[in-house]
Amino acid sequence: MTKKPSRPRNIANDMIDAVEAATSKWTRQKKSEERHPGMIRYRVSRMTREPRTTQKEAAWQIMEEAYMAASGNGTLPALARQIFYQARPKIMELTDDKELQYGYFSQTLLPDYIEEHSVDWNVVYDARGHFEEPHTNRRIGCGTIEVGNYLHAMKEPQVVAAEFSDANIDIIGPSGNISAVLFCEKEGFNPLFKEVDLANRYDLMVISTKGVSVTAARLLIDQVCGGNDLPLFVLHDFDFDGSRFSGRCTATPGVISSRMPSRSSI
Amino acid sequence: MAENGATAAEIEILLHERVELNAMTSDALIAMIKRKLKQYGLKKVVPSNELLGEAYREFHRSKELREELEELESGFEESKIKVPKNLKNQVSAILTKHPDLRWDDAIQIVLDEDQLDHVKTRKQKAKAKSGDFTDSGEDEGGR
Repeated sequence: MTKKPSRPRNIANDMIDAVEAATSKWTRQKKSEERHPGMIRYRVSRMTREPRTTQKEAAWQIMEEAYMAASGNGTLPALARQIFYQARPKIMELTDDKELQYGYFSQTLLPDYIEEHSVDWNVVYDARGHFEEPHTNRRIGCGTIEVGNYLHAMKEPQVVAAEFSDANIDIIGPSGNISAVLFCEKEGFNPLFKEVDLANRYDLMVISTKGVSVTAARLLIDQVCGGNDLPLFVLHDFDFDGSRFSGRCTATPGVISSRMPSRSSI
Repeated sequence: MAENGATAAEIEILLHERVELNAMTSDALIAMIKRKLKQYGLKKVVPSNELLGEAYREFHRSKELREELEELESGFEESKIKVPKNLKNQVSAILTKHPDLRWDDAIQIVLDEDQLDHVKTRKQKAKAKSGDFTDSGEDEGGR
């Protein structure tokens, strides 16, 4: 569409512009009625509708409250999805129950709010992939925290002087290392678990999948728990699918299971 | 649900309600996990007396060795060495021949070509230690 050329600035033209701007909504309505006479039925609602609260406006009102609730008053990392769960009912209430999509919240509203308000929040997005360096064997998730930490740690090569290396215990696997396995139905909680040092404090192997008990994970549990009499804790949604997930994980012979559904929040 | 281990009370609730982990706040989720682990009575790993003793002896040896080496290092005078003028070319030549190496690995081989096996073994061990066992040999990648 070509833009209407602007008129030279003078009082007469400014008055014409002002009148056209003020009546543009009415002009649009009238033209649409001329094209489609049935459009007359929307005339009253279009011309008299009060401006509604947009999802963005609602989000701007409640975002801080939602983040604080999800993050233990800013003391812990919070997943974008956890903030979404806190924010959704409040935003929907302010916007005549218009459905709020997670994608719009996590990819637009939340990042825009953080940027606009310059808040220093610890918001975690799921790692949706990994990147890997050559030679160093570093494999890092493409999540917010992982990428942020990596970018922060990048440096120029430093020559490390030769030195004596102390004795250490080389361990791979459960023997002498793992007291239990925590199998989480969701990806994305690892930064939170790391923040509270959960795995080290309890000698836990933490396994997470995206909602399905993948064959490889079940094989791992079979060998680590079943083969060593270690308990398996299953952290899952308290719903039908979560219950089935837990059932599948704990069907491994020899596994001592302790289901950990989030029933305490009901 | 019963087949998957849900109790009658849980099934009764699940017929009408559901709660997602993501709906929990971070502090509530961590508190619940810790409470469940405590209820179970999970304890920190302490291995057998045999392994504890072996580790104790090795750390003692390591401590004494370190003290000895620190003393040796304080009196150590390294011999003078000139950086070869064509070092870059030598490094490039080694990297062409062994593209799996990095430039710093190549420098060690310029210094002593017998280091090639040692460098490759060390890289293999580091890879296995990082959790990548894709091409570890029979004798490497484990304890």
